[in-house]
Amino acid sequence: MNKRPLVPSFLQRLDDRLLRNRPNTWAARTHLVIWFAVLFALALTAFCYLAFFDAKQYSSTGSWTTFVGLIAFIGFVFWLIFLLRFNVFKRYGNWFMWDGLKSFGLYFLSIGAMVALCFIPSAVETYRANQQFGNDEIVNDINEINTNACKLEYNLLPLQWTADTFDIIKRPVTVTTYTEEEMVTADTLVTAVIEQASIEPVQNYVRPHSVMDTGELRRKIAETDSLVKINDSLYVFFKCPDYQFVSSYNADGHATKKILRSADIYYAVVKNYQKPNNRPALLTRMDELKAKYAANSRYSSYIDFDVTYDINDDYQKKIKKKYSLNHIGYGIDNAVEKKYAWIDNWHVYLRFFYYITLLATLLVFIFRHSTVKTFFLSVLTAVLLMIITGLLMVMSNGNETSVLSFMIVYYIVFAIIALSIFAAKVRNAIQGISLNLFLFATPFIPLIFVALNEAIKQKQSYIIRTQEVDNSALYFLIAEIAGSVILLVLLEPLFRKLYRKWYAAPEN
Amino acid sequence: MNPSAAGEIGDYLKHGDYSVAVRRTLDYCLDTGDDALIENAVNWSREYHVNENSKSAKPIPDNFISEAESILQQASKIQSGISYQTKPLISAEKISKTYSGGGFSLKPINVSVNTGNVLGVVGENGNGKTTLLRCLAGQLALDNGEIKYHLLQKPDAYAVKNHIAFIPQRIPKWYGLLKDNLHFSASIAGVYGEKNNLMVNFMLERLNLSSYAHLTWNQISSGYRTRFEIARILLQKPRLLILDEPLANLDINAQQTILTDLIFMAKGAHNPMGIILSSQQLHEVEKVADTVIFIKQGNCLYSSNDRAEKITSNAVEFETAAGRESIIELFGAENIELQFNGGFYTIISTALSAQEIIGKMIAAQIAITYFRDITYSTKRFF
Repeated sequence: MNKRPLVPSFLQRLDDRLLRNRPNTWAARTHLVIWFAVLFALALTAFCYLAFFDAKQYSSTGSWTTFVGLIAFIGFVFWLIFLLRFNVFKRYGNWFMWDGLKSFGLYFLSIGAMVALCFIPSAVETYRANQQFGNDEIVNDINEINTNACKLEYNLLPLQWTADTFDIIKRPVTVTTYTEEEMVTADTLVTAVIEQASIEPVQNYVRPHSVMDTGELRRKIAETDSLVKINDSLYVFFKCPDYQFVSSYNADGHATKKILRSADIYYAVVKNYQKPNNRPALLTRMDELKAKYAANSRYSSYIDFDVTYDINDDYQKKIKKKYSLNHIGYGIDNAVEKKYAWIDNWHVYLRFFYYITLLATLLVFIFRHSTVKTFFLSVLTAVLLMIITGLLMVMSNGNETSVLSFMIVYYIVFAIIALSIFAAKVRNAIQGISLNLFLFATPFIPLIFVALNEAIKQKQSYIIRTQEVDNSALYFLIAEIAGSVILLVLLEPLFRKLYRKWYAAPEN
Repeated sequence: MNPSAAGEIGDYLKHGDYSVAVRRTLDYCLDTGDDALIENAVNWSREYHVNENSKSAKPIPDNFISEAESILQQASKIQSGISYQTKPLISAEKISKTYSGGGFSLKPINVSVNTGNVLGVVGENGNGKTTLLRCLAGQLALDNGEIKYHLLQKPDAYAVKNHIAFIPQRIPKWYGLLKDNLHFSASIAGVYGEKNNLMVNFMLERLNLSSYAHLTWNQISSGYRTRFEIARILLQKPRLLILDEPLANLDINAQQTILTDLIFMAKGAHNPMGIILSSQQLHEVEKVADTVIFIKQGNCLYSSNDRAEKITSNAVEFETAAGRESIIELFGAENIELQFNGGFYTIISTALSAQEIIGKMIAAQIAITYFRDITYSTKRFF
């Protein structure tokens, strides 16, 4: 007999069995949450699959995620109010070893199921984009568009390369600035080389000199279209005119082929130009590619340039307008962004998922092991501490180090008060608040310590930082994992015992 | 419950006291610990209650008596030798409590309860009954004194509360189906699987609640809420049950039924327990309690344990249409104290017993509509 709508008989039987055999598991209602989350996820996936049929259009997953987030939040509230009413701990039932950890795990699973729903629109969108466009397909089409444009509009193309000269000067190292800096000045003195190469020098160079560090110089050398090294300290950088009418960041990041650079197109098409004898076929192909990629311009303001012709337009604008290349580029950008959203940003999504779930789980766990009054007083205390800390920072010109130090001090104070519960004979609200905040802050304490260490290092010396390999990302990752491990390790032997002792103690 | 209970139940059946016979039979079967027999008894009881609730023309279902005899026969075979043993459960020595805000003080009190015993706490409102019960339940910290829970070795506060069940006067709301709540209570007490089903069904039948089990809290009256709360608590098998004004929401019949049910269950071999209850229903409490204590303004003025030392006179209360003069005239030479509270007369006498007082009034043809011997009742102190 089904007591709830949409709950099949097997789940009802499971529910009954858990009620009679595993009250702690039953009370978390994880099985029901996961069932309804799966149902909703299936419906949402199907709906998104149908809705996200055109990967080249502007992504609307932001609105979808917000909408699904609201639904998930309503589900969360429903779970809290209507399902999470039975509590073995507060009923002083048989409370076995690992029950605290098991409860935490069940809450994490339930909340995780609800939070995961928010990622479905984005995941389906990525799946659909990959279904619609292949990795190499996009790169091939971009290259085809650019080369075809050059073939069709050769008469509009500039042919002269530009040049810039850089004189490398070692700069003395000081404590307050970056080490090993190089002064690079631009000038037009190497005219012999430029004239010999029939190259236009840079005309609009307004700065007498610019400063760049070694890394940037290396990048410039790697990216330049052509380079002449006159001597150990004097370089001439040559730049090909821009023949990339359509491009997209990261489009070739996961493809076996690369997007042709302007210099590549120059050598392939422009340098030894031959008038195409299949011009109508090229034009037809350009129309096909336009139909394939041109996106609706409703969400992009810069696309409007395509429809307003101007006599002063340069060759780029003229060609782009003629073949609607802004629309095409916009569509390719959208498709590429959708295709690689999960591949490139999985760690960001994972962190969003993990931290939202962890925070909500901690709050639910605390709520289920504390009194209602103490829970809300704990929230109030946390807010007040933030305000007070903020005020102290403002009044004392404090920085990141001070904020982090305050947090560590608060944590130590809460830990000491919470541990005093072991010696207490009466239930005390201050101890309860401290215990709640002690538990809540525990998974984040390693992060705070690492952040403090990094802040101190950064403050003390830039020299050390630049000479060392920067491992801060690794340290933060280790701290994130360590925080969770510490929480799980302490949950049963420490926090469970503290809550058991505190909650059951008589009141005054 | 001893094996002679089978004979007692047989008498109930013989004289048509079917309701009490069903309840006692269920208790009798529960004490055997035989699940199959308990299930038979539960099904037999269910048939009886269905018939009763359907307002059938027949007072009992077909084969009711024969099935009862069969059940009793099987139970008697198993029952021999099963009985509970009285053990000390809780003893409180000179416990006291003062509230910091209101200034109320519970003065030092000694209390002890054994398994199977009922301790009644009576007194006027606001005199410390609830405070005493909450102290004993481990809900309030003591200022002085000590409470020993004899069945627990070095208990922490959680274990104490697991050991004791406290039913407050205002019962917190239940959520969800009533039956689910009962299953949950049984399972958190370690009653799993089929046994869980059996015990829930047993408790529903025992307290005649089966027809309400599919409802929710808002769909039942306050009297039934009390009964469901008692069922829930009993499923958790507490060793000490503390009830604060449990009779407040019950009608007269239900008060009697609940009290006798509690006594029977407290003395059952299945889960012998001690009971402490507070109530304004003095006579009902005094009828079932092994010990009664009277609290006034935080002081324990009287305990029925030491009544022989404190009670030096006999007392009766009665209601009559006769005037005060005719009563004084009747007892004038007997050196009595006569009081009238607007409803009842009270006679206190060191010379006359209650039987002698009522005998005199009957002989004098004074019409009496109500009479009660309150010599050992706490009613004297109100």
